[in-house]
Amino acid sequence: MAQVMLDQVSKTYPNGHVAVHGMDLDIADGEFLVLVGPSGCGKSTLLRMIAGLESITGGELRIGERVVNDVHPGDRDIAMVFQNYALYPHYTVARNIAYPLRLAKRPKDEIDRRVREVAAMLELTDYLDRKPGQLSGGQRQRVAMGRAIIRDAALFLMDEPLSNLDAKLRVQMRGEIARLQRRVGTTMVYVTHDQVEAMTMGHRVAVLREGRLQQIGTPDEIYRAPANTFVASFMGTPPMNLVDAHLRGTRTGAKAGAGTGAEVALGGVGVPLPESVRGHADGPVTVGVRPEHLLDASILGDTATHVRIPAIVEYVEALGAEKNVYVTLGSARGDAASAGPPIACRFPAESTVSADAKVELALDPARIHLFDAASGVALR
Amino acid sequence: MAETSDAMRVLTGRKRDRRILQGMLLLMGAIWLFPIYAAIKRSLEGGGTGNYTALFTDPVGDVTIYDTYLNSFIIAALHAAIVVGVGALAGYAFSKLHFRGKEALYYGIVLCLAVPGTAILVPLYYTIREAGLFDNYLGVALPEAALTLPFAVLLLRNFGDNIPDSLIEAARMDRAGHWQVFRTVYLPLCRPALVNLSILCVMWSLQDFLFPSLLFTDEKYTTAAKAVQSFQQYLATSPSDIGKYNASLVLLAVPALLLVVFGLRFITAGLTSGGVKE
Repeated sequence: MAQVMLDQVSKTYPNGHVAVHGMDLDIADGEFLVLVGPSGCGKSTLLRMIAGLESITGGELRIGERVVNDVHPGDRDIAMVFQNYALYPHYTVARNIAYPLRLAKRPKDEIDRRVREVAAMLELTDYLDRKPGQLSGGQRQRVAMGRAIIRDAALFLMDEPLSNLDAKLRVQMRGEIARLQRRVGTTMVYVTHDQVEAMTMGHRVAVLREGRLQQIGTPDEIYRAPANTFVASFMGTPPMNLVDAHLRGTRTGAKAGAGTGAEVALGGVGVPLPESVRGHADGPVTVGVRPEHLLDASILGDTATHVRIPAIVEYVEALGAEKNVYVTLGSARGDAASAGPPIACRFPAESTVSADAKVELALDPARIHLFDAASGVALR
Repeated sequence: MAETSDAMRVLTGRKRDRRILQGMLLLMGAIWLFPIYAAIKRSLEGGGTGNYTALFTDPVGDVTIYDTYLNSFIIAALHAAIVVGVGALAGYAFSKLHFRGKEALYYGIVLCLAVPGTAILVPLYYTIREAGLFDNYLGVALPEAALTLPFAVLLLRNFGDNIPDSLIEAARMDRAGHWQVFRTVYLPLCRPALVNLSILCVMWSLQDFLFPSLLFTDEKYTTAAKAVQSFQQYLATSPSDIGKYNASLVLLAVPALLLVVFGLRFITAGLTSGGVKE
């Protein structure tokens, strides 16, 4: 097991393209860190740099106490699971799993024992004599993990290991990988473009964009306090609603108990903002609201804390347990307040809204996120 | 099976169309088979099947027909072994290693495909003589291999490029050195291409007339292809033996024919299925 430290690690290709900009990451021993971001954000490149499959062109990478920038991939004590599994088609499952130990020239009885242990852990015992071509996607995935586990490596790297599985199997394997990591306790770096995997699997999540780290934190922190509009809209389905608005009144009416006096207009309604925004100047901002924080006022009942905003329903996606409702803010279509894409709301199943109906949204002002309109950085 | 016949039906359409298609195929088959028919017919003139038995029992000049087969196969085996051995190493290097000047070297080698054997005949003759390889199986197998290798490199690089890099990377991360990757991953996965290549090498060796004629002076090294000419001086001179000569031509063609008929069965595909999912 090992701690992994990236100190200003960067990757510049010979053609001048920078895939990873000075990246600082500190991965604790036994931690499950998820690197997430859209395709081309540099997450896979970063993982391959940790693996030693891509050279590091700047900064320092430490695994444990050792700087491994120039250490051969085989000598970094890392096991990796590839997106396409990279199983050897000409070997049986047993031989695939045993491959690292056979290379290490371990005694045959030890290899047999370890293969059986790992196969039992991954429920592959019945398939040991089969070739990868005779296995299902999920089984191949487990063989690939078996080959990684058997090495007792200090660090596991996983490169989008679930992206080739169908949706149902993906959910199942998601749980299995997280459980497996807890059980073996090995430090793990897991790359995915799927924000659900990022939210559900890791201890911490690092969100990347265009080779730069946007935010790192627990899934909860990332979700509740996104550092910028990119992170805000990347995590969550449907994503956070982002609306251009004007912040005003930051310097007026700031009397104790009366709020800050600062507000933003949403759908023509002024939403008072909490104390914390007082330090910011009036001007354009981006307002972020999660769909689940826009409530159906008709079934909410009376609450003093919520602001009521009129809206018109555009369309409804009934998902069974809940409904994704897309609305235009304002009391009439074509209203100045209704510009921009529809706003997503998540209503409970018992909500009776339908397309084209008028609806009243209830919003707790404390749930509002504010971002700088130009840079997208969160205003706190 | 049902799928195949459905596909056939789509391809062949209505019954009448199928009849026409079958008729045309039959005609083409007949055209291709005619020379073989003619050769067999002429080989039976004079002595009937006795023409064949005589070839198996009596030597022609200094050699028996078995000797010519053996010579051909020794050269073919050497040729195939050299090409497969060197070609596989080169294929691995060109498709899986990164080194300076790789592409230039690769295209340089592939360019050699354009060099005809006849163009280098004279320098080759002196080279083999200087090397002391006259009347030596290697003396013929080496130049043959040299002419085949560019093709082998082309074939194996293309094949190797289709082996996912992740298989090699996975092995490298499991601490495999290049030799181990080559032996445990690349070679087994290239097997279909290597089998293919060796069959082609053997076939080309069996058909090679030029190099054995030039580089063997001793008659005991007569190969099957060369025997076509050398048997002529013993058999084709008297009208009574002409049937026997024709019988020898049929027999000399047999090894290459058998190789094509049975050897092609070994050309397997789909060996890489299941290892990775793209």
